[in-house]
Amino acid sequence: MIKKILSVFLMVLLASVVFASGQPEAAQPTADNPETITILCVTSPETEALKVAAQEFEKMHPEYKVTFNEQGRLGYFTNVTTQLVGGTDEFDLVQDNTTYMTELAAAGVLEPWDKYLNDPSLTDLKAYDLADLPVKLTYQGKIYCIPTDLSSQVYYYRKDLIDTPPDTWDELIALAKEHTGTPETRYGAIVTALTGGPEAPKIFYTVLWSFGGNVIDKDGNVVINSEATRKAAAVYRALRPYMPEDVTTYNYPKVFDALKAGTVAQTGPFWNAAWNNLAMSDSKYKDMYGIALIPGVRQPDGSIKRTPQTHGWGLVMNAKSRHKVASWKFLEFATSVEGFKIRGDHGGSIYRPSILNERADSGNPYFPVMAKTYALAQMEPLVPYYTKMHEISNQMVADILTTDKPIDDILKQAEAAYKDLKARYE
Amino acid sequence: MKSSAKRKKQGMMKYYLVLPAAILLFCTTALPVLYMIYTSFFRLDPVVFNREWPFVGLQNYATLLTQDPMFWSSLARTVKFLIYTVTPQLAVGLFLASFLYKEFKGKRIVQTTLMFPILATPIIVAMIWKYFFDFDTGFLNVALRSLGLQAQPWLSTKGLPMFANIPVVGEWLVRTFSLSYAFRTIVFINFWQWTPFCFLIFYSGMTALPSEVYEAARIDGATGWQVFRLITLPLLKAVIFAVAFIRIIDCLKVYAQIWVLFGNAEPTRVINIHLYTLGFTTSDYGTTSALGVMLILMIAALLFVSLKLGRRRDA
Repeated sequence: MIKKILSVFLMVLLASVVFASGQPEAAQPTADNPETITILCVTSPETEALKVAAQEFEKMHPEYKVTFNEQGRLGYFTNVTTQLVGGTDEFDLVQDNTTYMTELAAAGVLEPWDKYLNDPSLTDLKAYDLADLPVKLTYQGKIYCIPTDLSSQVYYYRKDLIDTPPDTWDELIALAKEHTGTPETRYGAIVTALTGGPEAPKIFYTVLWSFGGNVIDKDGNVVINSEATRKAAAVYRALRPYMPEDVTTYNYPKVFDALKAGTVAQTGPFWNAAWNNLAMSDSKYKDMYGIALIPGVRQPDGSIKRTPQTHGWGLVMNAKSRHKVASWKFLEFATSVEGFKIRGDHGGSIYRPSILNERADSGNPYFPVMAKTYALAQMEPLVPYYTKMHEISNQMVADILTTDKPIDDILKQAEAAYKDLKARYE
Repeated sequence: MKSSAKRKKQGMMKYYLVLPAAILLFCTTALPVLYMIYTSFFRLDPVVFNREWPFVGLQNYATLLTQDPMFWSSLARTVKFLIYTVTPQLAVGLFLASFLYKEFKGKRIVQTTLMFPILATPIIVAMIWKYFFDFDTGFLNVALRSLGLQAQPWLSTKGLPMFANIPVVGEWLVRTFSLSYAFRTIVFINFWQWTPFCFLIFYSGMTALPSEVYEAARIDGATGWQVFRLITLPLLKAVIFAVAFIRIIDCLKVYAQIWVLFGNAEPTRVINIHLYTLGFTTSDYGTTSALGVMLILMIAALLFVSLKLGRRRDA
């Protein structure tokens, strides 16, 4: 009998401990008893910059503590989706790519920022300067993320070999031809084209958009089978002889290695992150590279249409977070003018126009190029079937680069697949 | 009366002993499979996951069969992978076993060396070969260039020139028979790692064969080829069948090597990679469940045919 009573008592005790631990913290955080927010993030230079910002934030707000749950890039987005959709409250903020956020927002697993932004007790909107933040991820009229970093595409070239950066794709092809298989460089050009990865379609879109093409137009029609896509595909096919034969194995690290090793005369469109990474590298070629706007298509009035693709990296708030106000305080700081400056000085990317313009005369060509690039940049369509769209685009790019199939056949196949996909989601 | 109850209790004992394992197996295998079958009838993705799942009946199956071009291509590629890897593995494994069955100096060293690939984990093997096959810095191309030969894009998804350059049908040949550098590479790596396994089992089987038969054949003046064809091969049939079966099952499960080398690139995408891509890259859980169910049915059919063939052979 005593045993039974004792076991019931122990069970009640255990249950109360378990349930008590699930309750939200009621006490006000203090410097002695700080409230901890946890960020799920990926190992990257951007995260390192975010950590520096977090240290500054903790100094300013000793009542809060920021911890990072860092994971490798492999399978990271899968992990983010499954954990958020599964309803975890293990982390409050998640670092994610803006292109994947719409699906999560539609799933209802992200907390919109609006009520925190519009609460004067939480946010000084004037100091925050929302107008200085050109990119906001919105879904159904609500803001879900203001990116901390913005990735876009620029053109890199060896200054000792190329005097003037190309303005058009034709000029880029001519330069590629000139610098292939020379004593200085093995390849005239490289584009990021890893089959199956997320980068190949994004780089291709930059070329496609400059010809006025798209995958899906503003009205939601599939428009991939167009003259513009044929022209973009022709650029890729024309570049083929001057790129590595296994170019479909080139992702960001591999193209970056080629830059570091000096085996390529030019690469573009390529990610802006490489500029800082090159500067921090031990490559003997690092000072030989120049940075410029990506090439584009000359228009009848003589101007050049350049359309760099862009996507953001940012923090989103877990709808199940138990520390929403504390999380917001950190989000506000990380995306504030001060937060941008701190992160920008430690490897993060700056895209607030006010800071870019302020630093335009610093002598570093990165800032003026990026100010212009961000002004031109376009985002991919933010649709819930984004990842499936990439599957089709990947297949299309791989076919263009690795086969001699007629472009028309490739585009017809892609068009049919996009239409099927769209129909499934409608 | 008492002894009858005792006997009955003893008779039940075997079931009691099996019960914990059966429960465990049911919870870890049968329940997930049943749940997978259930979810295959719903539209299930992150958007609807925490809401009411729309019932779609057999639509996920229909989508796979009629609207997903990657399903058929990855299934066909799996079959090609099976044929391209298992056939040479069995042939070369058998050849090595026959060759090393004879006594010669250094036999133990050769046998031990052959075992190394099996000991390495598939992911490590794939990573090592990835560096080995790299176009610019890989050992193989560095060696080819130093010999004045042309480097080859071993990791490229391009078609092999000897086939791709055939006028009119080249592209078709490459696509239909997966004759790309990349596919050859994964076939080669699998061959390299698992041929020694085939050798090992065949060799063990050979050591168990009765020596009298061989002695009699030798006295009768049979040639080496005749001994192999008329004695070794028939006596090893059961072992060959078992090895082939293990290798087929193993090849159907192939994932890590391909993922490390090429991720979910279409030209090397086998059915398991497609399953992962559907489930975890595009988060289409309902269709993934349908694919999982179809895969289970396919493997069950393969097992059934194998067992039938095995029984016929035994009879």
